Amino acid sequence: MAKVYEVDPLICPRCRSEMKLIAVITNPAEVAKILRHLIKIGRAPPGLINGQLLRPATARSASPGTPITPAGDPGGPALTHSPRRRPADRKSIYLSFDLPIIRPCRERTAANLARLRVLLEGPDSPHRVLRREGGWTALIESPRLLSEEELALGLLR
Amino acid sequence: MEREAFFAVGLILQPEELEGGALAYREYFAGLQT
Repeated sequence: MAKVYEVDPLICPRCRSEMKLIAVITNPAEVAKILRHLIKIGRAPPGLINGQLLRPATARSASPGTPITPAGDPGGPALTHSPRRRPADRKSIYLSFDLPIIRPCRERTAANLARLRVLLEGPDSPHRVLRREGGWTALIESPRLLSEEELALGLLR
Repeated sequence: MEREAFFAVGLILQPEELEGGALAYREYFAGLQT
């Protein structure tokens, strides 16, 4: 986390001491409930755009783009459904949250892929950067000059 | 030439790490070919 996002999630942003993990919440409805509360008390995490949380996939009744008022708080901050993506499963629910961290990640992976192609491809290069799968990883195809074990050990050295 | 060695690179690496790794990879293979 610290290497990729340049933030250590286990260091307290206030006192800089180490924090302990006490629970992992994976239920989207629970996550939304906690975030609603934090928005309501003015302690929204920095990932929310204008203090708004995109509606998770569990509430499927509203049409795309319809603001949703938090339950029990008619005057509270609106939750907005993302019209561009309907998460099909729990994994994609988190990608549907339009967090500011997503754009820099996309920009970095795109720039890294372009740079990788410049460095490793060319008319005389023995390497080829294959089509990326899922956007996070690029696969390089190279001549097989060594066994897998010899290659791995050689690269580590 | 047989082309079936594959190497995966994480694209979320810091740009300087990716560049350094790619250059090292290229030089390593260049050394093997000579």
